[in-house]
Amino acid sequence: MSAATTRSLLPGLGVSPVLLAIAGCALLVLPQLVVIITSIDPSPAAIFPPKGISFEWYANAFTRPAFREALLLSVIIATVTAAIATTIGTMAAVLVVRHRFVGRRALIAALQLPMLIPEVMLGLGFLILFSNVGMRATLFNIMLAHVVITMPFALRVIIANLQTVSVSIEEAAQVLGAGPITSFVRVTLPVIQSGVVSALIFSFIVSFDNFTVTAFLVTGRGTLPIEIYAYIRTESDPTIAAISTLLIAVSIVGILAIERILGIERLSRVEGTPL
Amino acid sequence: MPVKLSARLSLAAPALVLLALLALALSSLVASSFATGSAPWYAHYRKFLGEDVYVAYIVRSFRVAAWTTLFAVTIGYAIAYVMTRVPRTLRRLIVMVLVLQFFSVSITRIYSIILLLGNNGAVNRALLGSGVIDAPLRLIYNELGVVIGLVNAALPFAVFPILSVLERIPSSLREAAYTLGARRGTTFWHVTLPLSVPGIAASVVIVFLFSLGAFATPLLLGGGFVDLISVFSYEQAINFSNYGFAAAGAIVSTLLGLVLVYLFTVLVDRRVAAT
Repeated sequence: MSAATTRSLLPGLGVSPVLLAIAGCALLVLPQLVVIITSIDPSPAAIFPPKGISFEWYANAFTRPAFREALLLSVIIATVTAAIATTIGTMAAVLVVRHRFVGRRALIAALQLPMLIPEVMLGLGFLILFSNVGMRATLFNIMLAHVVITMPFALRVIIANLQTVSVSIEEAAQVLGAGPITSFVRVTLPVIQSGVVSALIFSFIVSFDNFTVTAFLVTGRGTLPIEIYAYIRTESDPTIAAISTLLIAVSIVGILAIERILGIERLSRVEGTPL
Repeated sequence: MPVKLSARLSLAAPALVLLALLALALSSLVASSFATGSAPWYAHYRKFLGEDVYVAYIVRSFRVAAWTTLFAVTIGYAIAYVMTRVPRTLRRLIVMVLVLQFFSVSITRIYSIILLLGNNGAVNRALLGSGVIDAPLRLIYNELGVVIGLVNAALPFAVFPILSVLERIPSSLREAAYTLGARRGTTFWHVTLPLSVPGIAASVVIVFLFSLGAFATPLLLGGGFVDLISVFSYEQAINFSNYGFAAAGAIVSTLLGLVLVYLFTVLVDRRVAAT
């Protein structure tokens, strides 16, 4: 092998890292592109490439009551979940970032535990727990499970944000006589506003997206991912492509928002577990 | 002005309530796997481990997880490696693509892979249209499809741990190797790769556990032919209300996965310490 080829190849594997990386990115991007293009396909068979342009599948997605109700249910669950998870995550983050105490690192690790446990175990565990104690309020059960799952994500965002904010302004407020709660609400909270907004978006998306745990707990009408699953098992028209395109758009807006207000890459720099 | 310890710790109280809920759910799961009525306490486990049909779920799950880990970590390494060597704008774009992947609704992401790789999918139609193949390739609804879907979902988890390690390798080390006459390939195998072992190990652990616990992907891309352990647990619990048996299967596979991961990290630590 000449020096010129060694330059571009991973020796021994015979594969250029650039080619591998391009293949990997293609595996990420191509499916999304195909979905977007299929969503405007007028033929009901969802065959790529489309023969024309039509928005009938978007209309179908919006007019089907099952999807409308599922979307509403998902939004309600995700909104309530995000609000609670962010509140709880923020409180815990303030403790572990601002205070030094014995077992602090263990607490940070423990609080992120739900991220590490397989979702099937969580879903099945909550299903068994709720049925053991006779809790049959499906909506409440799903929200409770979602809060447990999403809190670590909110926590990580707030920790990442708090680490960039100097502790001295809070100390200044407390030296000037503000109590811990006043100094938090009047001083810390405004400073970590961007983190709180990011945490809300983040936990909303994680809850909205959840399929596995919800699948174990759902009875009767499902959230949007559950209804989508039920639909693609029986139908093959591009209605789901239309819904997917809208969801991709919403995700992109959410990510750009987090990137603008916090910076996405900072999230992967929190001690404990990597993202 | 020092705040009382109790006041500080109360910040973590709601988060600890969530952890307690998690503990309750998991202990209900474990308890139900031992609740066998008149049969011996290990009856679910004996049945699960004693019949080939059930052991096959475990074997299949670990095989799929191993292939997924191999491909996702290799491609993830290439992406991370390329990210440290491209202009900032391109790097940010790749980060965005990876985060978008993480944020995409899992069900729609899987649906997009069906549109791309299904019998009527974009890839097969392109290949048929150009005359490369006569009959559609069976890319999904088999183990290959599940692995492709899992690699697609796991890439963000694979890239970020490796990226954070690669970034910490000082470029002076590579330059020193070049100065001493090493070629790029030699430098990669003898300098960059050994130094990135901790990142690779973290990535392997995360991707492996992620694939082992995956549920939606095998459910949809396996097409009923690639039932992994998570699908087993779901069907036992939801279709047959056989919570204890479902729990036993999930526990066996998770424990086995954790033991493997533990042995792997011990091995890696020993090798890293030796060099």
